[in-house]
Amino acid sequence: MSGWGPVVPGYRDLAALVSASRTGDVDWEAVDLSQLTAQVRAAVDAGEVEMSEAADLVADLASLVSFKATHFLPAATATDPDAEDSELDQGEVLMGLLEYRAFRDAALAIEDLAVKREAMFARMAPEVLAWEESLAEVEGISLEHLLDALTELLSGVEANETAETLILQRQQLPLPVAMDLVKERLISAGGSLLLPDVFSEAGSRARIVAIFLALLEMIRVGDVCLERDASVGKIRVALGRQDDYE
Amino acid sequence: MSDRALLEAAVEAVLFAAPEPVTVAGLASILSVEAEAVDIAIAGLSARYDAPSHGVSIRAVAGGYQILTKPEFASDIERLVQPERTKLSRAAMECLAIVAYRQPITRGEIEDVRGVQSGYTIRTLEKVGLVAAAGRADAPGRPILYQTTPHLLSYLGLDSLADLPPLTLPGETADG
Repeated sequence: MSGWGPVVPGYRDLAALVSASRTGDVDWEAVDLSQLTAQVRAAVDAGEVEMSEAADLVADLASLVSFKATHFLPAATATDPDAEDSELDQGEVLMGLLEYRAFRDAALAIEDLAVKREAMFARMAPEVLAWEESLAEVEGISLEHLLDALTELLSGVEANETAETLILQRQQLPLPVAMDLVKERLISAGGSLLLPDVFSEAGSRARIVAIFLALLEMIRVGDVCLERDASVGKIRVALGRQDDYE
Repeated sequence: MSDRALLEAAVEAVLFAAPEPVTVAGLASILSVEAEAVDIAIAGLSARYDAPSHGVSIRAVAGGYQILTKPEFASDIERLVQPERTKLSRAAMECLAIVAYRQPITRGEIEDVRGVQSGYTIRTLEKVGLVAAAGRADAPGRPILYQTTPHLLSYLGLDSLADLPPLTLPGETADG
């Protein structure tokens, strides 16, 4: 960052002028925008300003042109709809640009927070924690509970065993596809489902097993978490790491 | 030793042993004391740890408390452990900021702000666990809504989303 900015008579810098113009506290007769623009252009041509900073300066200058124009020009009349639309479009573009810049500045501030956080260490190394987190998400729900649930699901479709064997090969689901399927069902349901409902459209034992394996993988990587639904006493599957919200 | 000193010691022990932030309610439950007593114990411990003679401090993170090393000793610790770090691109940071301040938000709305396609960047943020799908918008095509995950708070060392840096949008004043 070069930190270069144009000299703005009567103001600390360009940002101060923009700030004052938002509050309407500017003598626009005394502000020569063409002179400010010329300074910026000369600095860009001379390579004194990085392109990212130049974009900020241009955005500031565009804001000032808009404020000055609003100050001096008569408002568009209702009988000239084209002029009104044009002015609206320009205004929208400008607002969009300023909105983007606000979020970009926020992104830089968030990046600073992340850098500061990286300088603080918990007792255990983060790569160890990642695995611990996955275990914590199934706290209170053991593997036996999951296997019981799987057995129950499989017993529900046992009658189709013979027909299913014939088409098993065709119905096998690759793991990534099964994971996408589970995710899609959870999203459609608003973020969570009772465990049996995750399998409600599985249709066959082979697909139930494939979806069950996908679910285990998603728990391991933290895409979903399990919780005990207090109202019905059943296992509930939810997107994300809901337990971390506590 | 007084009851208060004993409670501070117990809170210190639990926070030291915990791999994740522990809430006041969690500490109160573990130690069978009132939440107010835990608050007082944490305040006492924090005051002691803040002294320059200590290398760790108690931080409010993601709704709980955690013992973390002080930033000034980061380089010493990095000689001991080599943590895997989530280094995000500038584009990913922009997306993350938009989701953080506007959540829940659709991909289209993110792209409206950024002016570029952001699907890949959103998937990257999902992959590192900072953003997650949170349902669908009640709009044509029922687009997926995205929101930040609780992991964002740990990632940034924040207690809650209210601790994010203030965002001043055009037409708004800095204080909102």
